[in-house]
Amino acid sequence: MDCRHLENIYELFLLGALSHEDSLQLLEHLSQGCDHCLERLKEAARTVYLLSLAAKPVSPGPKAKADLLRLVKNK
Amino acid sequence: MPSEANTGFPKPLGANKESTLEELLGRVADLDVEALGSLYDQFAPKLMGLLLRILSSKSEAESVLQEIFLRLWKEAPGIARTKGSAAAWLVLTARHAAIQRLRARRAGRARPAQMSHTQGRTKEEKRADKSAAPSHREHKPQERLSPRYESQTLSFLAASPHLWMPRPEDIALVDARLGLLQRALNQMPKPQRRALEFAVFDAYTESEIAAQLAEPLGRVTAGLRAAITFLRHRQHAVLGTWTADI
Repeated sequence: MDCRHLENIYELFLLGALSHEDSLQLLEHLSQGCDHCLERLKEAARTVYLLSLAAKPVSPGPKAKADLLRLVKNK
Repeated sequence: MPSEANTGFPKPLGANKESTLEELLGRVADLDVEALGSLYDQFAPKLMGLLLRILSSKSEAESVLQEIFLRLWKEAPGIARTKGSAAAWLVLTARHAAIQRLRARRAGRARPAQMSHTQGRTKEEKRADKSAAPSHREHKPQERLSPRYESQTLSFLAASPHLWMPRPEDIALVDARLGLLQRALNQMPKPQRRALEFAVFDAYTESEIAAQLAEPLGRVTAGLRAAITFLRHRQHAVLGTWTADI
């Protein structure tokens, strides 16, 4: 698999939507340290960030922050 | 092909905010609880909205939200060393934690802690979950078992943040032009957008999306790839990041 075949699947990989076989092939290619693909991966992460923010913000419950900070202080 | 696709960016409007995020991350790495609280204030509503959209359960979403910030507390030194965007780490890590839970739920293999969390809920919490869940979830296709709820992607994201985390200035640019970019999302052809939403918020793989839509796998994979190309082009246009090879 070379870069041309990967061009539109980085985002699907980061979303976890690719097939097992395609994911393995992409990981194998990334493990070779291809600069272009590593840069595209960062761009794809930016796209996943954008897609994720399409969800409408919702405030957590009023106790959630206090519970978190209490847990952290007790660690 | 260029290795620095984003050189020549216009200065992002949110650059100062994002550098503040990285400063906060540095302070969290130094065990500053107040800094963790500040990051929580900035990101909890965004993350909660995403988690609730994926999990359709307020109590589960809050549980994952807490899990993510506890991970941030523990892993902040390593995350800070990557010099990547703290915002991107929070959003992508939260999303993947949620889809891991959703896939585990589908596989009927919920973890004991998760089960006791659900079993221990009061009537009021269950009612809050029901009212908080987006209404479209009630009409979604029947969730079915997914044999691979722990994918290579999840392992990769957890083990190699330095490889995928975008630069802070790139995420600041997205934040600064989020309205325009979200409008571009709405311009996507509806069938492609629907398939993409199955991947983003429902944790379905390409073959699972094909099954949900009762369409041939080839058509779904082609549609998803076209959707990605559409989004890439729109992003480059909005962010001003066109390069010679595109």
